[in-house]
Amino acid sequence: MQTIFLSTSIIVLPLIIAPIVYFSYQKKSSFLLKILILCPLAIAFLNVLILFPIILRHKLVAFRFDFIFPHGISIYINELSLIMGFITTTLWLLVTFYSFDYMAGKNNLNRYYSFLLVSFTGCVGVAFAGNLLTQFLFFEIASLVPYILIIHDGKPHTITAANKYLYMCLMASLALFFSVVYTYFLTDTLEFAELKNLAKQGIVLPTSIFVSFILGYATKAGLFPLHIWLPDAYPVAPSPFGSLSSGIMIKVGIFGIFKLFFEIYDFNLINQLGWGTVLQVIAGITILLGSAMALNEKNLKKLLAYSSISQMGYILLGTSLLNNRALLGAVFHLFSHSFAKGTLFLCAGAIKQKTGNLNIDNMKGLGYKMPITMACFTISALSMIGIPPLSGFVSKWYLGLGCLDASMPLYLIILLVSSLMNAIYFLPITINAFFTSETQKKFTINEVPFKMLFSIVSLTFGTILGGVFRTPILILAKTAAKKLLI
Amino acid sequence: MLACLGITMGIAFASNLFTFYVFYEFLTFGTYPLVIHKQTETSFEAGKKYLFYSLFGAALILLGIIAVFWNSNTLVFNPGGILKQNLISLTVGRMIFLVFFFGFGVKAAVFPLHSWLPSAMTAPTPVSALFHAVAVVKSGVFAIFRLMYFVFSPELVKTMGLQLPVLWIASLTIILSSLFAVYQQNIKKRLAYSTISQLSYIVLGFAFFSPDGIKGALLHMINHALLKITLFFCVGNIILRTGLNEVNELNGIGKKMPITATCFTLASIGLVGVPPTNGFVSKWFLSMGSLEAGETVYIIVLMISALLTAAYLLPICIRSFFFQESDKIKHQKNLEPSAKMLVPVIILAGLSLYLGFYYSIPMVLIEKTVEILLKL
Repeated sequence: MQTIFLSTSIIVLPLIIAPIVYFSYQKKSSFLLKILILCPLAIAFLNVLILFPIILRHKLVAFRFDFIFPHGISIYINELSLIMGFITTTLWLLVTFYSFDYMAGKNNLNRYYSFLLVSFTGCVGVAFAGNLLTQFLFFEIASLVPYILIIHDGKPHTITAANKYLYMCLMASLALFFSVVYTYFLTDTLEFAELKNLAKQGIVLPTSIFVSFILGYATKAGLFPLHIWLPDAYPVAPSPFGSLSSGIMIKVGIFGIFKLFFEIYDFNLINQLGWGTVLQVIAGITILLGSAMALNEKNLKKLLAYSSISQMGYILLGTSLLNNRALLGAVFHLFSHSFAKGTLFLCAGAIKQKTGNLNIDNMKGLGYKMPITMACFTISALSMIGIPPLSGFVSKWYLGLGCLDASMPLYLIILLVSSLMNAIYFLPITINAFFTSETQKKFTINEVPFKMLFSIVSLTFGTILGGVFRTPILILAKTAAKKLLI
Repeated sequence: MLACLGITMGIAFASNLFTFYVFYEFLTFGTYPLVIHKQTETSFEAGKKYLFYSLFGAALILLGIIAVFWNSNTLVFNPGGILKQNLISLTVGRMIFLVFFFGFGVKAAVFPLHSWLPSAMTAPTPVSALFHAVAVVKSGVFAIFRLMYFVFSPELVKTMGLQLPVLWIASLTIILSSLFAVYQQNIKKRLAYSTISQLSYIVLGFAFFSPDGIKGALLHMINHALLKITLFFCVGNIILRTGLNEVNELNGIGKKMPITATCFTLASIGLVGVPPTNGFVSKWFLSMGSLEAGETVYIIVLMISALLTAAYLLPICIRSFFFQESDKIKHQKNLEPSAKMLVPVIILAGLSLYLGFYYSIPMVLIEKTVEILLKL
């Protein structure tokens, strides 16, 4: 009962607050209203923390409301969903806090904050959904509502980029719709638990369902060759969106692939049919392509976008190798990537706000003026490259072991090459920021305001903690990986 | 207008073909004055076209009725079909079915008999909303429903080999009219083409002859009515307050008419079939119906159509909210119409959302119908 209340309030509260915010937020808004916006997110964060020990004791939360929507709204929280829930609530809370300073003075803030809350519900709902149709419902919210965030400034080229996103998302959702209807028609159930049982009994769903699921999720996750919306949408959207999208929204697609592999299909079967290999190849291409595109990119946000594409490849690789350690690496990378990339985007936003420019050549000497921001940028970049003791190293370590477990050293080499490329495109930025003396007088700026700085520093702190300590996240990830592979 | 309400109810409640036909004819003549309400040249032209098409349809229907009566000596609808397989030869049956189908197809705006509908959009907007989005065209669809399940029976239609042609005509209508809608710049005409395509969703659902197909079709009759009236009312508000008719003139209208534009957007995503709107529920059942009939291909038709629907409706929403206001409306402060015009729109849009979550109220009736129809 208590857990039902906790998990429902995570999903429902933002939906209640969003219309209030929409109708009452003014340009010079009061302190109270900002508290009101943070409230549902903070409560969600606390609820997830309370759920941690419950899930760690191997109790699952599962219930459903039958009376609404076709086939009811079904909630099912296991280790994997809790990890998604944790990163989602943390990132959303901090990014919203960051937005108070970053977005200050911009237009249409009521729209921005209310739809920020609604898209939170979408993302967290996908993580907590217990049947396919509930997941589809929240997936739609998580893909269509962010459109309003992307298009925020309403300039012509923004609209073009946002429309590309919109139509790709619509196609993705149609592909998913097809799979969901077809699955229901063949199995007569939509609950993940029952689907898993059926898969264990050896009932094979047709290939068309699998392909169409993959197409739907891969579009959202930005996997090759369906990544094309991503580099266009990020630079034009407000920076907080980039942080949330890279950190959470594209992971929603990856999360769907997790569900597909381990709860709708039987993973042994996927391996036997050769789909594992196909997806490994796609993952490999995504990793290399993303990194390579990032190499000669001058716009910082675009660079980060390409880097995100390549990192999604890491997670897909870990998933499609289908062994314990690779999967652990993939699950843990959900956490480490979202914190590190979230920070990087927030730093990009800080730089944008202070210098008005995102060209990486113009960032020489920036470290003298914005030492904390650039230090956090550096730490997160190092985590992306996979330097110990940061959390990015932990995921890369397990991913590497997983490659060897699957006796696929080729993929280990791809990982290392990609790390090298990460280093090549990230390190010059930080080196130039801190170690050039020539242009340090150029900037007459100082550090960003407190709220922005607080969010950046807290996320960096998370990246460090995740690598140094054996955090509950790692324990959860281990159980999750073990349980998925039953 | 009130007269038309009575006539439409008459169509719904008619228990034999003749009564049905009488009310059906009344509807044509009752709505004609509404089409030519503006009394301009184009509206007379449109009225003529409407009358001509309808009378052509009516002639076919009368032919069909005579043939049915001659064959079976009764005209009373019954769930097993008036025409029994042992009574008539298949060829005669086929001909009667086709005569009826194209007769009713005029009002249901089935391709290639649809072209009166976009022209009839010269009528005042509330008329377009009620009659050309709901009453007239829905009676056409309802007539096709009567035809397939009460005059003929599903088995008979199947043995006559006419299920496939009907499905194909419906699919063709869906895709083609969606495509026309994408290229149509006049907003009311765009909605008219959208209606044509959505009506064929319903015909498609009936023609699957499977429980979920009928459920989907009947649900979509309700849902499409709600959504399309919402869209037309919103457009009516916009035309009344600004006089803008073309899609590309609507830039920034959402900034001046936020409530109208929000309701328009809600109804649009409902028509695309995005959850949690009612459009999704009917699309779900229609797709299930398609699978039950053993046909995957019609889901793809529905999906393509959903994408095209997005392509012709969402740009309007995007323009209205995110584009710079055009000069014409830039300096006006608030263009929102009076409460009397806003409240119906809000209620209708709210109802669409409500039915997306709780569709059980119409579903109870629909399930009964399906039970009766398919038991026999």
